[in-house]
Amino acid sequence: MFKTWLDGPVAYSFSRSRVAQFAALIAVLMFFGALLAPWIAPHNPFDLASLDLNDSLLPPAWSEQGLVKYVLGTDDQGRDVLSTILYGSRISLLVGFSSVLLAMFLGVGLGLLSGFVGGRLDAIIMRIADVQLSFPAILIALLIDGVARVVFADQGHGEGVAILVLIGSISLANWVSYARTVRGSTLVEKNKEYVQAARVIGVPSIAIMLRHVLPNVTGPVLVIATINIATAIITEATLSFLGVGVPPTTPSLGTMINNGNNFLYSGEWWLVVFPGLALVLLCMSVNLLGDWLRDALNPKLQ
Amino acid sequence: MPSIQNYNNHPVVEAPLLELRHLQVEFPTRKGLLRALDDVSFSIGRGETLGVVGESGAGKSLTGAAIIGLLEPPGRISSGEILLEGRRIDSLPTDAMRSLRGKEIAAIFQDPLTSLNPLFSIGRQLTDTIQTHLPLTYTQARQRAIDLLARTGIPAPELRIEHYPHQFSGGMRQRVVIALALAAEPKLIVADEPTTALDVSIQAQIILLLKQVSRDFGTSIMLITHDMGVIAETADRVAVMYAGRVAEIGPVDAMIHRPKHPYTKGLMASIPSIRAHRERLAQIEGAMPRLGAIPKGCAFNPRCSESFSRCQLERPELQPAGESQAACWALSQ
Amino acid sequence: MKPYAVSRSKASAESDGQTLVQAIQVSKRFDVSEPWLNRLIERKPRRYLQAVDQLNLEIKRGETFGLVGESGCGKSTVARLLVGLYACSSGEVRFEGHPLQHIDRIKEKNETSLRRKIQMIFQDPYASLNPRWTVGEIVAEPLKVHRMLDSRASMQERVAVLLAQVGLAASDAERYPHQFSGGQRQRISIARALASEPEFLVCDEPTSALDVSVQAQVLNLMKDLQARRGLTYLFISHNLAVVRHVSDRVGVMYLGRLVEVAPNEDLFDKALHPYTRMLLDAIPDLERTGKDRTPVAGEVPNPLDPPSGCAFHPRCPQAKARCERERPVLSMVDARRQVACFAMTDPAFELDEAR
Repeated sequence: MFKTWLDGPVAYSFSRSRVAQFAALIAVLMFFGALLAPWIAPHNPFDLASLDLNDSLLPPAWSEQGLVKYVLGTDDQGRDVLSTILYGSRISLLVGFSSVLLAMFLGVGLGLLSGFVGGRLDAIIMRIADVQLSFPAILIALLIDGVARVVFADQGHGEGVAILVLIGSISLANWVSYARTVRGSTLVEKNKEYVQAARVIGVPSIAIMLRHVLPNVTGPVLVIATINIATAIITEATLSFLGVGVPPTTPSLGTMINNGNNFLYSGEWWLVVFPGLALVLLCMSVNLLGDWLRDALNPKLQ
Repeated sequence: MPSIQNYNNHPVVEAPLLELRHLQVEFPTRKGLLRALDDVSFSIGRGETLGVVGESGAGKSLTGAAIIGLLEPPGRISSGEILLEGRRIDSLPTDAMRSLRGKEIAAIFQDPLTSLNPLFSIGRQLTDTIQTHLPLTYTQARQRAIDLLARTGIPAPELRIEHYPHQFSGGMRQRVVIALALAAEPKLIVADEPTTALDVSIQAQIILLLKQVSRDFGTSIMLITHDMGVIAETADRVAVMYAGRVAEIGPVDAMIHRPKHPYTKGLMASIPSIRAHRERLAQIEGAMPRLGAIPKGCAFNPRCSESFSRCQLERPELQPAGESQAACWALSQ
Repeated sequence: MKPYAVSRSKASAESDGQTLVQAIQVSKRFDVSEPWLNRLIERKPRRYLQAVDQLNLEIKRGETFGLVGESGCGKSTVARLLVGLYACSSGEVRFEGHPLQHIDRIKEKNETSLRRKIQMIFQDPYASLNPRWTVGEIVAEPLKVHRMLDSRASMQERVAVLLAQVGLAASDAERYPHQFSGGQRQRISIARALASEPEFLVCDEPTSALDVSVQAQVLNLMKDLQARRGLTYLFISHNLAVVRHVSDRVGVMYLGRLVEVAPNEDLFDKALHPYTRMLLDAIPDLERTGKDRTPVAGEVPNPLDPPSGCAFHPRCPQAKARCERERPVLSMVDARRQVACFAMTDPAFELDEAR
């Protein structure tokens, strides 16, 4: 199967597109950087013992007061910016991927059910989707997060809970686009003869839905998902920037930018520029990949 | 060129209206260059209806598209000539081709639903076409449009001229498309499967209309279809295509009752007839080769019961065979 | 409604002439109304499409019954009604004497349901096979659903046998549908239909999308399979020549109604119903090179708004006033033929007032 995929139009398009290759390279580098952070980061920003306040607010290594030890400089607590970026990307990527996965699961499931069963169930699900779409995603995430804070207040708003709430709220804000696309495709596939043939054979409806229709409606989902990853990461960064995402003790790219913002006008530009650059690179590469994938999968453009 | 006698005995003109000489159409793909039409030559006389038959992939629609100048890129005419009244039209610039299209060559396609613009009334579409090609005022053009609709059998044309395509049934729409094709009095109409999407009873009406048009206006028709029955009733001569080449060409009566090329023979024998209840239909083993895998020599040789050594080596040219011409070595033995 | 108890199949020894499938006053109505909100605001009534109207049909074991008609006549709906894809709005379909709607609950000796005896082949060779499944998986599906075989190995063997029977190679089981041509895909559909060892096969325009030479191959194949396995076919097509070639008996449909049923030779040599005659006249004929015909005027009316009385009366050259008022019923005119036409069944028809 993999071999036929390699011979297929997607791989061919990839080999022809410099942009896609470049974007993939960046994305893969950042991904592995984040994954292997504990091993490749020069310092551990969480290890309070290793922090030295004397080293705080050092500029990047190539400027006058910089030290080679801290390549991109340090923040106000003496944490190495590069290491913090690597560790922070982990949070961003974790939240990004998980929320997309959850949204995909939810959206595809509801869309499939809605399109296949039709009737009232379809109407109900689609009306809920319509209502949800009228709220901006950030607002929904804020709402859920606010509620969660009250609910979990007594358990302490620990890091794990915060991340779970974050993932949940972002996916709840994003499932609709999957549901709508899948519902549309399901409506088309439902009327095709191979589905009717399965009914004539006597295959039960659930089996038809999951084994016949589902594999044929997932095409556009992949494209939406790749583009959604970038949106999810930015949403997380925004929420953290606003102070309602991860707690300030666990830095994500968003909290770094938030924190670094305070120092921008006092001259410590590296605290906001480098995390910002990292965020931009990550999102741009994922977006470009998504764009390329959409064109590569579009049979009319081949 | 031998003079062509059409069955309704119109005066015969020596020079053909349309001539294709060794036409080749190629498509560059990532697997290499595919030759979709390979050395296709035939001609259509004035007032004559030439049927072009073949199965899917034989290249008949492509031939029509090449003539109208509507080949989809990256497909292109790689060699050969298309001549209209002696002038070359295959390498004209886009503007010249556009004015040619509609004025001298018109086209009718299979699906009347997508051939008409759903946003404009048919009167508007007709008058636009007429005024593009003929120096008429709007009132004159509109009158001509009403006349055309009446000629193509649309009842109450003064009323229906204001209607939109969706207000017509399938058969009526195809009549409108024919009226549109006739708007500027073209010399040639290329009709690609004009009756395939229609019911049998409507199909009969459209066939009759095409014949009347050809008679009354003197228009030549290139009728592309896979349905031999339609050809039998409408065409004067028939060209049978196979794998991008012309296998046989000749008068329609000879083609049906005295086919010479083994492929044509097999094709005729495999058509079920309304007259007799046969036990088994004759079938040709195998299938038409894909464009990238056309055999050496004669394209039909792997499936041919009469093939011999020469067929696998040399590609046959069209040779005289009775009243027709066929590309087959077995005939010259 | 009383639940239908699980029972054993009543099918007895195979014998020709025994009725296999029966349609009794079958009607099917589709609700094509506007959405509720639109109806409320624009005050429009509900709209219904009567796709099939009081159809009575019997198909005997071992025969090929051809069903013809133009687009919109309801023949595809009849196919789906007889197979159980649609439920009848009224009337009943019976298979081997059992009501079709209970077919899943009627078991045979080995616990497989009677449903496995009914299969269908569709028109579009491209949409009738799941593009994501391999050919082997597609053909084996009926085997799995009806639990006819246990081990994977025996299923693979059976798939290979089925593929060979339709003229394909065993190695084709690993390939995907898009790697095959239209004619080959129809063969795969046939192999899938044969997997459950059916007795009744409904074929909805199986060769309409195929080239003439490929059609010949597929039709010959279907004839061979019928002879070897004693299959019963319902063959639906708009192509009268094909129906002439394959059928034993033929039914003609117009706007959801059966207008004529007759044995093959009787229908094509001497059709009785005016619509059938018109259809036969309209077929382009290979023998009529260059000759003109006068085709019948008019088109099939909108099924949403059918004519009163006999649906064909607006286009019928023989119609009288009665035809506009009353609807003719399909009745026997001799031992083997049925027609729904007053001109054929009413001896005093000529004396009726004109339209």
